[in-house]
Amino acid sequence: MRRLSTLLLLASVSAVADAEGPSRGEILASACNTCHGLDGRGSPPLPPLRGRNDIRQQLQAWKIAAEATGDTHLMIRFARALSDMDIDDLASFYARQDSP
Amino acid sequence: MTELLKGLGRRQFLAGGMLLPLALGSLRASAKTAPHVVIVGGGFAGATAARYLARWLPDVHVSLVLGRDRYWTCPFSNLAVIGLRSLDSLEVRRDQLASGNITLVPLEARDFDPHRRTLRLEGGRTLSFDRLILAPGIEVMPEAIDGHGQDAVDTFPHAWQAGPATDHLARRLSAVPDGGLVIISVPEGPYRCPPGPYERASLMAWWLARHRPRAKLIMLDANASFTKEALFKSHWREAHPQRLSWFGRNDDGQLRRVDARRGRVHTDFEDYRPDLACVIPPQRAAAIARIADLDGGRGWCSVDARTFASTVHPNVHVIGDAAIANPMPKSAFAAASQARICAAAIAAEFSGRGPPDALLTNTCYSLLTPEKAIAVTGSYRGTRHGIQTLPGSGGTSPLQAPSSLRETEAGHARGWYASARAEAFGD
Ligand SMILES: Cc1cc2nc3c(=O)[nH]c(=O)nc-3n(C[C@H](O)[C@H](O)[C@H](O)COP(=O)(O)OP(=O)(O)OC[C@H]3O[C@@H](n4cnc5c(N)ncnc54)[C@H](O)[C@@H]3O)c2cc1C
Ligand code: HEC
Repeated sequence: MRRLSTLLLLASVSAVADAEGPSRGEILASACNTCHGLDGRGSPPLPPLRGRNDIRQQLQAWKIAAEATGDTHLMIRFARALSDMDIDDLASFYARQDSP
Repeated sequence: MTELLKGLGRRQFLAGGMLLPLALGSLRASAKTAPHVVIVGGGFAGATAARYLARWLPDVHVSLVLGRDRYWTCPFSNLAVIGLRSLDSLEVRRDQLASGNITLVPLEARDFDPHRRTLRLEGGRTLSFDRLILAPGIEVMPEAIDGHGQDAVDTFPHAWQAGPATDHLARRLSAVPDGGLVIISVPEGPYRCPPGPYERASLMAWWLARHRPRAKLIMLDANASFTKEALFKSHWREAHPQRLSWFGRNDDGQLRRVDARRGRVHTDFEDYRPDLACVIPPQRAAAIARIADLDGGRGWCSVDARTFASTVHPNVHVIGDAAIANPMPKSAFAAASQARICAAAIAAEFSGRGPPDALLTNTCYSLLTPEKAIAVTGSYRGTRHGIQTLPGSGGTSPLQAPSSLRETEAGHARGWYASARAEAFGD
């Protein structure tokens, strides 16, 4: 019984210690960085995203854009797939990174 | 209790009975506590999964089983077919994938036992795993075509796995005489890279227009319609009205038989005598992904779209071309997207967190000419009922567009390629 409670203690401490992991925003951002460069550092001509503060505003504007034409037709479609929570998590993740 | 043990998530550790004597501080460092994830295949899917697992589950140990073959990317290999990219520039050197927690195993995987959780390598060595990720790509089946077989592949080169075969196809193209005939045949889906055959046709037609202006190109397609069809066809009508013809499944486009000795190809009603026939064979998941009934006899592996765990053996995950992930296409872009979700799901489980939101994405760029491209894109969510396309996320480049937009998108395609390659391979 003593052994069991030690085990439980260790198990819960370990779960807490490990609970950090990647944030929701970081996992979502990996889907963007596949184009926008490793860790969002840009991959010319695709612009860098890390360190930017305008991501929320830009994605929200695209989300309501009517027609998916022009250079950013693809970003308009990506933005439509994102919930408001996705956009918030992405924006705060990128804002926390240093600019490239 | 069971919840906590699950949270601990380290069966090896518990099975080893080593828990009590260890101090907490040594838990993370000890090799015994670290989950061992074995990945088979070091292409876009496997390499991307390895790197994100190492990042998101810092005490993981990954063994990346690469096989002996060198690796050339298929993306951008159609440019090598028309001599505008060297094979060398497509080769990925994978040594830099090795790191503190990624070990490269340059051997072929032969077999695995999902119950004992062991993978057998060529030469007989075995690796035990907590999780196995299979990312072995495809196997081509020329023998599924009447009269065809592995020994006739040089006669009807497909180069659907990039490498020296790509150079061989390039040499065959440059040997086509002016006034000659080139054929590209397309198998019934699903196959690797749905827009790939049409990109190849566009680039070959571009090359013929410059170097063999009287030559013709015919596409024989086992499918009735294809991706970005309106965009490709509008470009062909404009740039190659007399040069390129496409025949679909309802238009006698289905290849029925080949004659390897004479180099001829046959449909129901036509017998063609091409100077070059690029016969893209039907495909299925590579052999290692069809063991232990993982493919249920269907040729491709069914997975839980939230984690990419096999629906047959849940501690074996399948990602990339080998998995059934429709409506996602079999592309390098999709393979990397699945790899990230699979890595995030395994990391979450071993750290006692819930599974991540499975936002999946794809974009396939296709070159119409070396300097002009079009794109198709889609976002999806992995759910318990499969992969669902998110409303409004799917679509292509506009049909009517100035040439400058096509040029801009060719630049985006190059930007994606550099980025995805760096993401997967660090090269
Ligand atoms: C002409 C062409 C153009 C393309 N263009 C694009 C494009 O522009 N964009 C795009 O997104 N996709 C493109 N693709 C598709 C893309 O190449 C594939 O979807 C992608 O390579 C799939 O990745 P994968 O990791 O599943 O398989 P692969 O890249 O094939 O990697 C699998 C690896 O596993 C190895 N392997 C297999 N079995 C074993 C074993 N038993 N033991 C050890 N190793 C093993 C293989 O040797 C291989 O190295 C194109 C394909 C073609 C043919
Ligand atoms: C398939 C590749 C691709 C993916 C994936 C992608 N983008 Fe983009 N992104 C682009 C392209 C192309 C542009 C337009 C570049 C231009 O106009 O030159 C762009 C532009 C942007 C811009 C505007 C940048 C500027 O300087 O004006 C932002 C912000 C952005 N993307 C954010 C994102 C976010 C966030 C994601 C993930 C949800 C994402 N992108 C995923 C290709 C991509």
